[in-house]
Amino acid sequence: MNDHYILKKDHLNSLLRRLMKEYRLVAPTKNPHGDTLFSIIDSIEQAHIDLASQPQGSIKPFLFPQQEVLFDYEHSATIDYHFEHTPDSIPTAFFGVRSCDLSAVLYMDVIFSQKKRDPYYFEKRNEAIIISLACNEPFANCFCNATKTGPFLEYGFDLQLTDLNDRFMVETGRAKGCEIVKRFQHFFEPVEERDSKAQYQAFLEARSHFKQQVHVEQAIKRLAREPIPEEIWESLSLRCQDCGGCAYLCPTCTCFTITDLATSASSGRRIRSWDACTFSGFTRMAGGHNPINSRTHSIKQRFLHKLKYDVQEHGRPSCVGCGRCVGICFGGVDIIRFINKACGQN
Amino acid sequence: MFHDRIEGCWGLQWPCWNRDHAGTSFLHKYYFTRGRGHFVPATHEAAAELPDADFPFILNTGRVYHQYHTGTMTRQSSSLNREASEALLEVNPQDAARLGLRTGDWVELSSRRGSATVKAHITEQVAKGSVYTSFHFPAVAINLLTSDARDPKAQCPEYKVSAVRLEKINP
Repeated sequence: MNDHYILKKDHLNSLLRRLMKEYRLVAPTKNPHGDTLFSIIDSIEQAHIDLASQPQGSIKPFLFPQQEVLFDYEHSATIDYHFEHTPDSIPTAFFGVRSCDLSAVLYMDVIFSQKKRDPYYFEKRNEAIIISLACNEPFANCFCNATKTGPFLEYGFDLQLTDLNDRFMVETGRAKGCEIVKRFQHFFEPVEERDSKAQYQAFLEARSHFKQQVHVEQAIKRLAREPIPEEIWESLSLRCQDCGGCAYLCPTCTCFTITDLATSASSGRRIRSWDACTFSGFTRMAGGHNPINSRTHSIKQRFLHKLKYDVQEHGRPSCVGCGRCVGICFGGVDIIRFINKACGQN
Repeated sequence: MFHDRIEGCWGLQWPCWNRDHAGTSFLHKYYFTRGRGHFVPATHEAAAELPDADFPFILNTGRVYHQYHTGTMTRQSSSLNREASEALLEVNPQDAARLGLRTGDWVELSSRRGSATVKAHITEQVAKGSVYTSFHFPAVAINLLTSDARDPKAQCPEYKVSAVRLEKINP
């Protein structure tokens, strides 16, 4: 059973400042160009923490960086291959993480612990504390109600905040969240009945505020039942410009490729970088042949992985309904369009 | 044009004459804006160097999607290098069959000015008698082969037409 507390908004900055003594703080901030991105906060006063806009990216890059050194290597006449890995495990508090992005982290936890736990991911994940913010007001392209990953969550967070105008309702989830409340008791107050009512009201209202009606369930059922007509794959793939923007912004896209970069004749580093199944190099073989025709099927793997293979494998789709691919794709081949087409609309 | 018109569809072609206009797919579909079309005669001028018995192919140079110019920036990216890591000489399948070339074979490509060693990529993308490669990769310094002829008016270099010869080699 989750415990509930009240955190007055006047006390928020003090609490964050206190957390910053022990954690690197990452929160959505508005930069001078007007873009809201998750960034590392050095000073609460100088950063413009923005909880009103959807961050353009998720917290994925902090747990699974776009480019990550796996190890450095050295080889010479005297040294017979020496490998060195410098762990990157700064304790980090993520503040203002939306329900969809938190659900995506829970999905990454599963993906990076299949068969063998991925040490690079978990050295960061184990040091992370996630303070999520329930969505009272979904953004323009959001459809987490249809993927069942929001707008409010019941588990997975360390703390979940609900905005109640001058105060936050704080719910404890995992042990690290309970510990924060216990250690910094003076910031938290008991919940009154009106607060509980206000939170329930916000929860009900949020569900009616979605602007997108996306039939995720229906699409999943159809994909499980029958193949999608070839002309749908073709009409969408033709418009894909091979930029990888959807996969890079997607909080659940976790494909990577591994490259060795020589730094000298006798040393180098092995890195892993984000990859995307929409890139033609993703499936191209050494001889140059590509089993996937990029003109007609470049986006097939992406949508089938999200809505069919992950349902078979993990019992739920890996689309969390954040809507970022809708905003980023300049070819208009986002997941909402695919779902609509798969359901026989437009 | 307003945002609500372009959301949920694949765009709207300018010009739109009013709030609900369906867009203009063809600008000059029924008549030219100026009235009748204005024809400007242009006389054909052949390229400075055309293929002959010694150099039977037309070489065309250009760009590939994943690299930019000399690649000083894009060749630093491991992701882009995975997509396009080296210069490939595109050869039509009919020419390739005649020369006994297969994708991945090394070719000595020569013009009257220079030569380069480049890997063949057999594809229908190029017409019979033409070959194409990119200028992003220093290992294949293709500009040593290109002609220095220029357009007499625009002074645009004639990089799209040089006469070349292909020889399969075993490096």
